[in-house]
Amino acid sequence: MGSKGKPQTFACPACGGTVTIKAVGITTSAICMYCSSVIDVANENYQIIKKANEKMRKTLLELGVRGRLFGVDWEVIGYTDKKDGSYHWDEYLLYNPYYGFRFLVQNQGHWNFIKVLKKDIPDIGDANEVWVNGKKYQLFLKGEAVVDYVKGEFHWRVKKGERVDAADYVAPPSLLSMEKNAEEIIVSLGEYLKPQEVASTFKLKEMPDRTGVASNQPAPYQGAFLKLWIVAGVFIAFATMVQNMTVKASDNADVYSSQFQVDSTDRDKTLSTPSFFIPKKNNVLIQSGSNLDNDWLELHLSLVNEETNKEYAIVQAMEYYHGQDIDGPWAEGKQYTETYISSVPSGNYRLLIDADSGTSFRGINFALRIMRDVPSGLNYWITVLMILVYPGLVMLRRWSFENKRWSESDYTPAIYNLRNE
Amino acid sequence: MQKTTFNCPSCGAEVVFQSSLSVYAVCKYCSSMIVRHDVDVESIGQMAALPDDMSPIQIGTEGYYRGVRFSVVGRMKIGWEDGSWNEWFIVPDDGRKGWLAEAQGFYAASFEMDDTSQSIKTQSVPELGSYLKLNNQKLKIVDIKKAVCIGSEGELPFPAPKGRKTTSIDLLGPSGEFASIEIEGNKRRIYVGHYVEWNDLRCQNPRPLEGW
Repeated sequence: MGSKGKPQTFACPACGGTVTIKAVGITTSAICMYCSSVIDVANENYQIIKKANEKMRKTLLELGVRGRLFGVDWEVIGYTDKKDGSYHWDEYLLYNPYYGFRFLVQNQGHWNFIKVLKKDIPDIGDANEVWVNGKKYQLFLKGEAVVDYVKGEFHWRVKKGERVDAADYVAPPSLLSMEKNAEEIIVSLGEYLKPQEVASTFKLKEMPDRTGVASNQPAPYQGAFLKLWIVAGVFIAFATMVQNMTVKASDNADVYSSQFQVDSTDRDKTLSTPSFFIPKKNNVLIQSGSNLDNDWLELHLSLVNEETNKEYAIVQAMEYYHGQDIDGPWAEGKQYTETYISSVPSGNYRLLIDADSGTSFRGINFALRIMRDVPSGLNYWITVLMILVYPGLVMLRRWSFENKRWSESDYTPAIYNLRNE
Repeated sequence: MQKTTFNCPSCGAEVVFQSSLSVYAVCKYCSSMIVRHDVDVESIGQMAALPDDMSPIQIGTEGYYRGVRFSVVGRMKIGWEDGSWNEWFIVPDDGRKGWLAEAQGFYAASFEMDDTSQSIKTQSVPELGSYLKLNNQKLKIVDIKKAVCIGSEGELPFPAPKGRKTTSIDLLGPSGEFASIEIEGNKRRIYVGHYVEWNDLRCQNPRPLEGW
């Protein structure tokens, strides 16, 4: 059968140095590592495209290093320094003879693993959103990419100064890029890589600092987001179920109710209800109401256990004022209040009442109602609130993250657009 | 596969045609280009050595495309202005005439399409970026290039001597559909298929590659 495939070497036509080609048969341009001349190796007669006489630049990832990403070993065989204006980024060309080529792109400390996409995406470059593999990509930026420096080998004709129109679409952690020149459109699909992943793959000790939020950087808790809400939903459903059961199991029973009438002669007197029985330990609800008319009422109540003398003291205050002013009729305050006393043991009780009222203490009516084992929604709502705190905070963080991401874009979706334009 | 064996008219060594679809072969001993007629074979010259490459495929490699097993029986190496690529002639178990194109690290399997539908007017010159409907798929013309055969090996369904000139048109669909139109003189062949990942080809007996 066929002979073993192996790298090829030849003498640089410019300086005579040994040039090695790894992607034999595919590589079109090779750059001499000694003199940086660009050599055309597309056809059998090798030619100098651009003669140079400079030392090869050092790069974070050097030519020839290998690393495993997404289950495949890749060798760095080319490097391009690209720019848009004064903004630079690094593109490393990765090669594996079985799997072909990938790009590893470093931009502001953010890394992407990119593969050319062999799919026709009709409106790419023009549309504000495009769909690929069932995912919606949003336009993030349009710009240009100019080759500023090259080293290594490439499966296309590289040239310093070569320029393409570029557009990036994002669906974090994926990135859809388009590069277009007069002859062709190249679409590629990228995946955000954690810097630690790149560092451990290529055994790098120092990495460029990560600044800002990258266009396709996954948001914190992305992916876990839906899960988070599902978990919250399950907890709330459970709390609701418990609450419903509690409501159903509650006696919600009346213990005592009566009307009282007091006037100025009762000012320092303590009224008492007759003795009433609470059959089991549960909460007690005391409701009071009064037909206050530009007046206030303060009830100092004391629930006293007749056997133990244990006392539960509460104050219920209400006020109600109304009148007429330049804006029309007004009213404030309320004529009703209620208080829960939790975990009242069983026994015989009476309620002691000290009433105090406003200057118009000339006789006031009020009603009292005592109930026991009344289901309260309070615990339930506190629970629900607590369940929602975490996902709520996460959502807030997510929103602020997205806001930061899109602050770098000219195509910010309205909900992340905080700038007044 | 219907295997037929002949003796090389040039060196006498055994020349095996693995597929009944093959009409041309390169003798692996003396590099004679052999054309098969009804009962005998004829040598039409000498094939020059193929330039080396790092292809992981070789004659004898077997793989799968959409669940159908195929074997690689021949190759054309095609050159163009900006480089070269491989067209591997594959013989699938379902008897179709297939090609596995290997270019710039991508693989695309395609099968010759019946060209009687006249879906494409022979007269019309396809334009880069325009769309063609092939096999009920709307495909975009992404590449038109003048190609020349650099060399061939193994067996092929037509003679492919060095210097054979064609126009090669590549088409791309929205879900990775691939098609290729090859124009040789006034003869035209249409191939339709799909881009395929190396892992999905599940290749056995790939070519050994130094360092990998």
